[in-house]
Amino acid sequence: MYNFINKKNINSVKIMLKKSLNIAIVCGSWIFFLLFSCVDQSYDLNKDIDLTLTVGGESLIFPLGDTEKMFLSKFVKVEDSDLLYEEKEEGEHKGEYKLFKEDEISSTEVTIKDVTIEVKNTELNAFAFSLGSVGGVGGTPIDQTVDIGKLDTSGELTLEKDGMPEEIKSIYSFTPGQINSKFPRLFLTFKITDQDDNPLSGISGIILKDFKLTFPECLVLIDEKGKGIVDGNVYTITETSFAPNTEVFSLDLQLISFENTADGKLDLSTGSFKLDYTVALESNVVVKLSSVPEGGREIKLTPVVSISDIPIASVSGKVDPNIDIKPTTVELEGLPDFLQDDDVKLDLTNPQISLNVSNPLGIPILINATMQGLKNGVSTHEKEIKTGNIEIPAEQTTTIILSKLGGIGDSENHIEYKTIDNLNEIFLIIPEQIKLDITAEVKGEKHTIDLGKTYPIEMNYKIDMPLSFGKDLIIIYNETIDGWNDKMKDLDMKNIYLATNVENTIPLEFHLSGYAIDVNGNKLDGIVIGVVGNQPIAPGKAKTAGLSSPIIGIVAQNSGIMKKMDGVVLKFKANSTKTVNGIPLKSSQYLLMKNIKAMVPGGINVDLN
Amino acid sequence: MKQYIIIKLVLPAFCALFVMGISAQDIRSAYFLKGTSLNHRMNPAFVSEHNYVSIPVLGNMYINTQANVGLSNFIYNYDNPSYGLTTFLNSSVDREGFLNKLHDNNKIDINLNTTIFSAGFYALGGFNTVELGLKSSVSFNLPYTLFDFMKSGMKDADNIYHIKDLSARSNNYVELALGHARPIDDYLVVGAKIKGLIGIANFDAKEDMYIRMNGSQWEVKADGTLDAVVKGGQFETELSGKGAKITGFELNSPGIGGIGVGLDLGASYRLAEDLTLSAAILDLGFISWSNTLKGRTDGQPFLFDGFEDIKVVSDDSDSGNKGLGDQFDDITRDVKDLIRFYDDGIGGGRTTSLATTVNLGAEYTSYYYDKLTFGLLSSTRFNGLFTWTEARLSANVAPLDWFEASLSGGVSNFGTSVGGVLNFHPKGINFFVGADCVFTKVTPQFAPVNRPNLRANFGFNITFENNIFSKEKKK
Repeated sequence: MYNFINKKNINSVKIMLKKSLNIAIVCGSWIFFLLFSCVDQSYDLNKDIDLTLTVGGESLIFPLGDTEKMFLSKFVKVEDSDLLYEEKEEGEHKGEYKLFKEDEISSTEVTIKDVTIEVKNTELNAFAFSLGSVGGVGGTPIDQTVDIGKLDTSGELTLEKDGMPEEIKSIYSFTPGQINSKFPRLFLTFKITDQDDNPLSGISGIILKDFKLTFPECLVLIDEKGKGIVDGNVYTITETSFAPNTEVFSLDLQLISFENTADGKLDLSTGSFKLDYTVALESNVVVKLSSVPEGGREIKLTPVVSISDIPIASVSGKVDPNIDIKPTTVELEGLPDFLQDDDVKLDLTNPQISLNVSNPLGIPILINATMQGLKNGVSTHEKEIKTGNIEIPAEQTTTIILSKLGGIGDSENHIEYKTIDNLNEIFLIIPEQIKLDITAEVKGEKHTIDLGKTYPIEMNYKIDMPLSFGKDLIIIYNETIDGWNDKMKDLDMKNIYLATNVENTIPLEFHLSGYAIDVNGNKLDGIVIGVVGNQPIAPGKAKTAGLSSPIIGIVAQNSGIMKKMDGVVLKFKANSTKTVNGIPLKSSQYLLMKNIKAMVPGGINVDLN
Repeated sequence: MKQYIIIKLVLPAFCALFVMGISAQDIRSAYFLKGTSLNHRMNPAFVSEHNYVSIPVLGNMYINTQANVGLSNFIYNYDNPSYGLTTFLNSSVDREGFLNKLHDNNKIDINLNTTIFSAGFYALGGFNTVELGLKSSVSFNLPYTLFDFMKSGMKDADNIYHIKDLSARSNNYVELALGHARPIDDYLVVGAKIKGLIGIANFDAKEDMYIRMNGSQWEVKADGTLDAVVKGGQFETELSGKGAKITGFELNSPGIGGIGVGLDLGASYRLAEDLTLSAAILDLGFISWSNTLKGRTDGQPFLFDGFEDIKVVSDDSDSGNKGLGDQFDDITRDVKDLIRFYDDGIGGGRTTSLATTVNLGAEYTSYYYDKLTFGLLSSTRFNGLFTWTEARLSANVAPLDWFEASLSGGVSNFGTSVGGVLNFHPKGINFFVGADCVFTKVTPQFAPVNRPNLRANFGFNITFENNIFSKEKKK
């Protein structure tokens, strides 16, 4: 180097200075290069870095798999409903859901006031005899009988009563009641006087021979004591005697019957009756004297036919009691959620309402029920549901099953079906209440009813029907699935599509819709939830599951809206179809979503900011 | 201004020093400079013109990070009023644009070499060196398919990703080197270094993954192994159904984990008056490690074709099934377990070779100005997956006895670079500063925007006596 310098430039000092300057320039340039390498202000790391990441790719599909079998028992909580129960009994109906409600209908009482007929004494025409053969001073004791000949007389006996119970329209017969365990009596006495109707002394007894009394035909009498013979309305005694002022005989009144009259009955349209009958008496009379009568020798005998008060125990006739059944309101509270939506149409295949009617009357009654459903005070169907006349036989408890499809009754257990074609209409729009009006009247012309007795007519209803549906059924089930926001709040995506194969054994066709909710449970606008093409979920049939492949879309209309979502309210609108109507809902039926694939076009934005 | 300079120069250097490490290599721009005391590090046949003793730590500070990807590959400008930047996973970053900038294997190579002590002196007919240093290297490889998977996800109906050679490797040892270089004749100089190595820690983890995703099934297979040696270290584990799950690492009483030897060989041959050839092979050797901790993935493929029995009715306490959220948590755990390492026990010895470097150089002296030379250096480091190679052309000038400089340009696996060196070697001292490559674009925080390739070097050594061998050569 030194040699080279020596050759080129002798003035080494100047050269050194010059080279040193060059070195300084090189060094300076090098340092300048290091110092002023380009600063890219756009890469200022002090600025916030957006850590929103898009992951998953343009065609993100995640195989979610299968849900558990969503048994109806998970959605239909019988314990949450007062009306719903699940059939537990082993057999083909086990697991069926049934609506059940029973209660009493306000009972009523039927009473026809008791009646007592008071019959006035009937004095037959008097008959006078002469005691001409008896001599002596009046009052002189003697023991002598005087045959005074044949007595043949008659009189008018009147049966009458005002203020008869208006329920009794006509009477075939009365059955007298007993007083002190004794039937009313018809008895005969004689008034024994002289011609001037003064008491006549000296007569110790009277002997009647070949006695015959003809009394009203309507009276049915028996001689309990056996003194004579009752033959129809004739009572005969061969011979009897009696002391003055004592009964000759007494007959028990068993029945007052008007069936042998021209009309065969007693018309009570006026509320009263008055019947006049002729009573005739024939007999040979022998008078026993214990002393010579004082005064005249004429004796006057007046037969008196009496009937004690006749309490009427029962009446056989046409009776029309007032059976006043107050309207009953059937409260359908506690319906399961899926039956409460305003859009629900419950087209039950065979709704049934049982009426249990106890009829203690000896009269068959006809009941006629009218039903009207009400919701919020408004009728849920246009026409009232009317049962028409239903006969409840006398003196038995009868179960009437009102049914759309009818059925075979059980006469042994007094169960009868009454078919009502439009009975399902009452449930089409689920009423909150069913107003039940029942009218009742007796059936027929001839009844027997005890007077003064209270007849309680008791009724209760029972709704017990399986949830099987007709083709017009629409029920709504809302299921809220929430609690997503913890995981969703940092995620955003445009759309989510869930493609799945649905296996459905529930005999209902489902239409799915829904809406998104935020953390407060409020509806979140900007997200549309539905099934692509509104494809329904096919219903299950009796033994096979319905299969369908819907695609459920959750579509965001606004960017970032998904982050606010906390869940969805899924609205299952279920309807029956022609092919599956009538199959009952069972707890063992289920929905199963298989091979669910979550498709997120464009991937998922994860906000790690 | 002083503060600015400190921030601009020193801070990045120290950041790189402590965060990324110091390279075991020296800047290759200085390969052909004669006045540096530590040239023998790149070729044992190179000798210093003076005896020297390095100032501890300051004797040779070398900053080296290299990667074939950088910040701009993963962080992007973002046209958003709230944010200035975003990541490559943002939907605003074009997929093709992002992936096209990546390589099949995206590597980050970090090395630490601390020269604790170094001295060189003439004796025994040659130049002798003694060095004590700590070498540490950490390398990561992130394959293209990993980022393709992250960015593309399910781009087609059926998507298959083979993520091969996802790996991390670290080697750490203390090196004591004794070197000797001597001229054979007027043309040939040879040199060699023998190194005794004390292994401190070694770590090698790699995992291959196979991912297939379509609408019906997701399949993930992972096959990974982990070998680690740290004296006194053991895995922290947690028992699971698949074995002892590695959850951490515990170091109780550090010590010597392995013993090894290494050899550097070099030669310099003046083929003609103006052409000198040189060659060196560095770090030829091995370390034998004992008590290797082994880990493995469970090797079971993860097949997912959907959840079973997803609980839908949330308030159904009778159901023994889990809801979607819980089932997601389960498979998240399963996937984590899939790539998780399980304790495979303590193996026996394990031998790892050193990352050998081969330098081949040719230097041409200018016909018109004999203080100006041009050098071409080929450097290749053999380190398995992390092998790299570089060709560097440099112009070197020594206008004064006490000063020389070099300007160079290189092409390597990690891209192109431009560098330079200033070497001051007046009597008694040797100070050099230079770089093979520097950041050309930095963030306002001085982080490199593009590839973080930095090889900068400075050193301060005390020199004494003249290079007798050099004088002899000059004669």
